[in-house]
Amino acid sequence: MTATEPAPRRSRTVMFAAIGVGVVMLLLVVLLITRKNAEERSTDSPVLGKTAPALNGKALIGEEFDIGTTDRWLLVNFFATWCVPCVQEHPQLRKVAADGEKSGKVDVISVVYGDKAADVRRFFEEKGGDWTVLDSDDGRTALDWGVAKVPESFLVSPTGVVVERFQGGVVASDVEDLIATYEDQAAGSGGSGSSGDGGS
Amino acid sequence: MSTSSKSGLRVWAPWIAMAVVIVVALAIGTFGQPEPTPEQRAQNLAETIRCPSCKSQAVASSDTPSSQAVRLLIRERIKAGDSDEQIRDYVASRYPQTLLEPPGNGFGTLVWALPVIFVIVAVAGLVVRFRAYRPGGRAVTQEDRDLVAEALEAPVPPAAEGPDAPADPVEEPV
Repeated sequence: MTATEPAPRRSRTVMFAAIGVGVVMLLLVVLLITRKNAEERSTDSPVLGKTAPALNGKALIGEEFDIGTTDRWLLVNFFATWCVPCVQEHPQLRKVAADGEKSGKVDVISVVYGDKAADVRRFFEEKGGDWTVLDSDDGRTALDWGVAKVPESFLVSPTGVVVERFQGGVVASDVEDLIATYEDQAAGSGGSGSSGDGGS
Repeated sequence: MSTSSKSGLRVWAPWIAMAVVIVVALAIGTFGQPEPTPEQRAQNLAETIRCPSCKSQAVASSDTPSSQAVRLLIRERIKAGDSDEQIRDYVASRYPQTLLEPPGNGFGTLVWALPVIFVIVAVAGLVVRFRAYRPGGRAVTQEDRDLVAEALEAPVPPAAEGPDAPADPVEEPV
């Protein structure tokens, strides 16, 4: 019958439309599944593998400091006295600083993150530590280093390249092991530099 | 000829009027705004950047140290003559995933383009369907006329019994 002829044609159109929409939705789901989520991407530091940004804060403790002026490794630590994990991390930083002074390999430098100068000075008097502490420079330093939460630290090679990022507190032995690994790699690859990253 | 062009105008006039209103409203909305002051620009920008240490709060309404630093940076960069795009790019280069508005390139394009594509496809679909429903859109064939005549000449089925039974069918004028 002529009256029933258009029906299969229409259902075919609907089927193709549904398949088309389904394919688009599937592609979107696959795209979203295969992408890294926001949490993972936030751990991608913008400074890793690059020349360390400047440290322009004024020295609250110790002397003002400029990256690239020493031939030592540098542990740049962002902290605040109101941050409990930072307080817990402090003994580890003291160990890195003490061992570094002995070996002549590592310096520690701290940058204040959203804290008062008086509180920071009192904190160091109470908890110890005599390395350089820079003020936050109105948050510019943390912003340049991509720091949004403390504690966060970065290991900078003697050539001034950021090679490692530590989120949530450092462990002294980890820092020392990493430096040893990088130095071994550099020695293994012909001793062209002690950074082991080939950057800069 | 003149009657058909008159009725055509009557059909299209509301659509043309609506299109003019939309275009004028968009033009005023896009170009008619006064130049924002630097403070307004800073505020607008701060509302499009997520606080780096929060889950879903804009820098404009957050008091974390990182948000304060971003607000200060925005003001300094505006003073230095940077464009909004340059400022947003710099913040995104320091804090990835902090732009609340998706970028207009790469994967982010989909977010802007898909709704527009869907609207266009939906409107086009509606237009096609409505055109098919227009009276006179399909000419009556002789076959159709024969079918109707055959149906009218067919013997009337016996009326159902009972009080609710319908009355005898009345032949409607054709």
